[in-house]
Parts: sequence; C-alpha cells; structure tokens
Amino acid sequence: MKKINLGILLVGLLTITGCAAVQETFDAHQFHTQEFSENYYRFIPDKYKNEELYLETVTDISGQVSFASPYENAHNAIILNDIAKGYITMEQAVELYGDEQVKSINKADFGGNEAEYYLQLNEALARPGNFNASWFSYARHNNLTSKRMGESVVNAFKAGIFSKLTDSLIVCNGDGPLVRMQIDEDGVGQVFKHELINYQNFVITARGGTSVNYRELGIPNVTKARVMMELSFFIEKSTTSQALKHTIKYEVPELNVDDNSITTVMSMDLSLLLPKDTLKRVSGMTIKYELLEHDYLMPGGVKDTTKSEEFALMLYEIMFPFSEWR
Amino acid sequence: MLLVMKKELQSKTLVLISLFLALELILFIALDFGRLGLVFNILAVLLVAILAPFFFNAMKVDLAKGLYILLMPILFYGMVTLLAPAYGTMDIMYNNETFMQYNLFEKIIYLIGAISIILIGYFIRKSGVFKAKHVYIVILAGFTAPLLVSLFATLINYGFFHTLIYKGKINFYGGSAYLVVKQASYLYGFKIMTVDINVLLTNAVIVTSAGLGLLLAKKDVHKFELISLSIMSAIGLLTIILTGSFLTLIFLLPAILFALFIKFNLFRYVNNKISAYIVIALVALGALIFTLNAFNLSNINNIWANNPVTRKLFLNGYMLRFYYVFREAFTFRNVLGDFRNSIGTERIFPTGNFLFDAMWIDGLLGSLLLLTFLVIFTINLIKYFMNENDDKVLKLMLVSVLLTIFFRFMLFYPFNQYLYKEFQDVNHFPLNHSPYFLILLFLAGYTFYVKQEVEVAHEEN
Repeated sequence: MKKINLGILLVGLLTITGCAAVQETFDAHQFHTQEFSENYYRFIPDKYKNEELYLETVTDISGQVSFASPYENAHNAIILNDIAKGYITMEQAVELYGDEQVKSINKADFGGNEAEYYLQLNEALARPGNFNASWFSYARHNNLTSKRMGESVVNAFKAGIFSKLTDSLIVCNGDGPLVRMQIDEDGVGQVFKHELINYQNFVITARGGTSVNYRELGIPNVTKARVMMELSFFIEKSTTSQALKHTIKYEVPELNVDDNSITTVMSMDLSLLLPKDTLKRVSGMTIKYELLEHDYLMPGGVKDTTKSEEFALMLYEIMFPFSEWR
Repeated sequence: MLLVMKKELQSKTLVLISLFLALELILFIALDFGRLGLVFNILAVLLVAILAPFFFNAMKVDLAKGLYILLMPILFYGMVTLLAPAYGTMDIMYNNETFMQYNLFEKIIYLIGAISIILIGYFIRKSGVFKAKHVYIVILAGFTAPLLVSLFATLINYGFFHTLIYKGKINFYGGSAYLVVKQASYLYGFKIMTVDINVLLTNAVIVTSAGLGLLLAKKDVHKFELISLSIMSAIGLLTIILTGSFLTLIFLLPAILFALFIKFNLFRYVNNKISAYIVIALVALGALIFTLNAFNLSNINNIWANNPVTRKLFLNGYMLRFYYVFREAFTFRNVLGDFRNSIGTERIFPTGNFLFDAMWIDGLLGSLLLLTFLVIFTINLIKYFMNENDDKVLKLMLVSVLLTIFFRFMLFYPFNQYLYKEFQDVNHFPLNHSPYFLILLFLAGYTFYVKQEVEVAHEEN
C-alpha cells in the first residue's frame, strides 16, 4: 500500500510540476505553410481580452515615434542616448558599435582636446557606412535576452513562441516565417514572467505583408502602408492600485510592406512620452494594429471590398533597451 | 612474488590514499561533471606521478610484456590530435565548421591524461587494493547517477512518454522551433541542459545493458552485485520506457546475444577455423562492397540506385557521408583531420558513427591509430574474459556494457549534444574526450592481461 502511495505521489508530483517544456507546443509546420491565411498567430491571454478587468488609459503619441530601416545608422537615434544616460561608456560604444574607422581614432592624436576627440568619435559612429551601429547591430546587443538582464529574466524571455520577438532578429534572416510572427488586426498578447521595473526606450520592429500576387496581377508591389499601431501594457492589481491597462497608439505613415522583407524600426522614449513610472510593474502586453491605407487593398483609406487578399503585420522584435525586470 | 608486491604496496599509506583518490577520479569521470574532462586529466597525471615510482618495477616488466603496445596507439593518437585542426582554432570561424578551440596546453594535457588514465587502471588492478566488483560498480554508479537526475528532469519538463505524446509537435526556445520528441533534459555538472534525446538514451541503454548478465546468473550471485546491478539497470530501463523510446532497446541485442552464447556455451560451435574463415570472409566482403561503393568503382552505385531496397541500404544519407569521409581519408586528402561540417550543400560531419567521426576530424592517421587501440584492447579483453578469476557476472557485465557502447556509437554517436542553437559554439563532444572513452581507457589498463601474472598468482594460491 505504501509503495502504491509513493508511486501516486511521484506521478502526482511530476504532473503538477507542469511539464514546463511542453506547456506551449504547436504542430511542426504551423505558422509557415504556403497558405497565407493559415499562418496567423492569434493568442491573447483570456484576462487581456476581458475589458472590465483593467482600467484603461489611452495615449496617442503619433508624431513622436521615430521610424527607420534596419540597416540605418542608430547612433543618433538611440546609441547616443545610451551613452548620455550612462548605460554604456563611450569606450564600450566604440567596442560594440564601431567599425575599423571608428576604432582607428586615437585619443593621443588630439592632444588634450577631448571635446574634439569625442566629436570625431560621434561623427564616425554616426556615419551611414558604419554598419556596426545600424539598428540591426544594435538589436544584437540589446534584445530582451541579453546577458545584462540576469539569468532568470533571460531564460523567461527565451522560452516559448514569444521568443521570436526577443531573439534580436529585427529583419528576415532567410528563415522566413520561422523568425517572425504574423498577426491580424485582433493582435497578439503575452504575459511576462517578470515585471518591468525600469525602462526608457521601447523599440518594435515589424513590416506589412500581404497575400497579393503582384506578379500575377502585373502591377508593381505596393511597398508602403499607413497603419495605426496599438500597444497595450498591463499592470496587475496590487494592494495600492487596481489593475491597469496603458494603451499607446501611434500612426505609422509609411510602414514597409512587401519590400524584400525590409522592416520598419519604430522607436520611442516611453519615459518621456508617458508620465513617470507609468509602466512600472508591467507584466504583459498586447500588440494590435489597424490598416488605414494601402494602395491596393485600401486605396485612399477605403477598403476595397472586391479584393479577397489579406494584409498582416509581420512582427520581428520588441526591445526595451537597458530596462530592468524583477 | 606478486603477492609480496601487493602486500608491500598495501602497507604504504600514500599508495593507498592515492589509489583511493584514483578510483574516486574514475567515479568523477563517469559522473561527467559537464566539461570537466580537462581537470580530470590533470588529476590523472598528478596521481600517476605519485603512484608510478611504487609500480616502477612491475611496470618495467609489463611494458616489455605488452603494456607499451596498449599505450603506443593512444600516445600517437593524442599526438595526431595536437595537429588536427578541428581541435584548435582559427582567426575566422564559420558556422559550418568545427573548431573545439583547445589551446596547446589543453591538447597536451588530454594526451598525457589519456596515458595516465590507462596507467591508473593498470595500477589499481596491479595493487589488488580494490575488488573488481567494487571497481565496476563504482564506474556504473558514475554513469547511473546523472542518468537518474536526468530522468527526473526529463519527466518534470516533458512528462511521461513525451516522444509518443508530442509526435509532430514543436516548441520554441530563443526564437527557434525544436521538435519535442528530440528533446530531453540532461545533467551536465550542476546544470540541467536541453539535449538531443539520444544523449539520454545512450547513457540509459549502456546502463541497462549492465544488468543483462544477471538474467543468466546462477543463484550464487552475491547480494551486493545483484542489488546494485539490478537497481542501476532498472534506472536505465525505466528511462527508456518512461520516455517512450522503446526502439532504443534494439541496442541491447548484441549484449543479449553475447549473454546467450555464454549461457548455452554456443561459442564451442563457432570456436573453430571454419567459423573464423567465415567471419573473416564476411568482414572482407563487407569492406570490399563498402570500398567499391565509396569509390563508385564500375559504377556500382548505379546498380544499387535501380533497386529501392539496395538504394535505401547503400545510398542513404548516412552511407553517403561515410563514403565521402572514407574516400577523403584513403586518397590521402585527409591525413591529419578536417574541420568542415559540410561540403557545398552536403552535410558531412558529424557522421553519427564514432569511427567515421574520427576519420574526419582526426584524419586517416588518427582513425587508424584509434582503431589499432580498440583492436588491441579487444584482444586483451578476450584474454581477460577467458582467463581472469573475476566473477563471471562482472565479466559478463563488462562485455555487455562495452558491446552496447560499441554498437550504439556505431549508429548514434552524439557529437553535438546540446539542442539549442545558442550553444553551437561549444557543442562539440568528441569521442576521445567523452566520459565513455576515458572510462574505456581506464578499463584498458585495468583489464590489461599478462598471462604469466595469472599463472604466478595461481601458483601462489
């Protein structure tokens, strides 16, 4: 009898531990079939669907978001800020983001003129030809699984399909749908295993994709679309506050679409755009969008109901550079 | 004389402590504290430096009697690894290349360490301080302990029978998709890693095979052997069953066949010249067909390609890799090893077979030296099996385990063990640094057979 109890205990223990590695499984070819409409990822946690649970505030930050292409230089857009804020030193910036030309600038050559030395460094780092300071390279060092985060946070963001958005790939690497997340206007959501404690910049990388066969139609690709992005951050109820949902909306006037998989990098300083510490204790988010204009599917902002082709947002990465989590 | 030497040795505290530490070291090697092989090799060198003076006279005699024949291939093999590029590094390294990035010091330590581990086996046997059953059980316990922890970790992470339940399912890690059925959790040192399930199953099938001898044992098996072997073997078997990897049990067949041959004394039917000729003829025929295929002499591959069965048998992905590796080696284009994982779009390395892996990264010379060592070890082992007085169950266990290791590694040598891409820079597990090989070296020294020694021992008894 005792042996049976021990066996039941063992099986029970193993069962309730939850089989961590298989809590989220998918069919082997899910999300990367030839059929465009079968590749959407639509998961949103139930609690985020319930509009009554969270007190929502909406902030429109249109016009205050920077847009870039993945291979554009990110020095003036974000690296300079990282240096100014003391997240990294100039020496680290040179090491991480400097090419040979940057690294060849020698302090000794400037005598005692440090200001000139740093000016030269900044100019060299910000050169369009310095690929090491591109957004592509920046993402490599600042994704949500970078070592700086601490092992527990790093591992939490590595597990599961959401890790497609935290793996530092901000543009297609040849693996096509394997590295991106295709979402429709209802969006996608994720509960984080950790809470955001400190933050400044937020970066999201995405592009539009359609099922339109331009070659068959004999028309040139529509490579831009106007889209309204809607990002919601969720804070759970605490003893001092009710559950909150902070939604930020912004218009993307020219989102890259069907243009050789080139994405649009959208960066914003949330510490300035929202009241102080608004997003402190965020433990989940949803990403939605609304297609406002597309020359083929929604010319002049009016949906062409005769067209059956679909538009999707292809998400590649989200970044909270130098954020802190607990 | 032998008895006198043993008594002399056993009366020296330093020798006893060193021998105890040596056996402990062997346990640690089997436990495989995740990439601590280098440390163990250094410790082996130190222990041999302490012990060698006490065994100097005996060693001098045994070197002349054949111990050097056992040591030489490993010494020269180690020298080849000093030169083989895959063990080193390069200024620019690409993803489709294997560079284990050892420096010269590490390579030399692995070389001297390998010799030292053989000598430790030889010293432990020679001293007679430990009974054979204790030595074997210690080694097996070393293999079993991480297996048990890994089994629990796998069950906690994946549940029971996950290879059956999650067929065709993937999960994600670090942005990449992985098939669930290929995953298992495995203890490396003090860390649980996600590995290719074949790593777990390899250990499991090897440990399981240790208990096969018990099935045929008579009632006089000592309680200690019976209990310990049963428990360890059961852990191996449970791992295979609870992960739903029943096909892995096939790898027990050679060991089962061997045990049956012993039980029913079937060797008497095959222990004659005709059988030997038949075996030699079959091996020669196999080698001939393989060579013809590898070089596609007389367009033989076109003939195989016309028949679906022969096409699957001779022209499958594995065989095509073997042919390429063999061709490169025996046309002397790869004498001291290669580091490429693919040629064009064709994946070449790892081959999945430990011998062809060695032929690729150690080249023709390295693989021939490794093969020579294995042949000499096998000859010694046969002599040991036929003549030594150790318990039959223990000898059966030893041969079962070695047979299983051999057949498993002929078909599934896991050179890349970690599953996740992020570890690809350190995902190199060459056979010659693996705990299995290091234990094999120890056993080579331990079972080193000198006929005269046994005869003297008999006389003294």
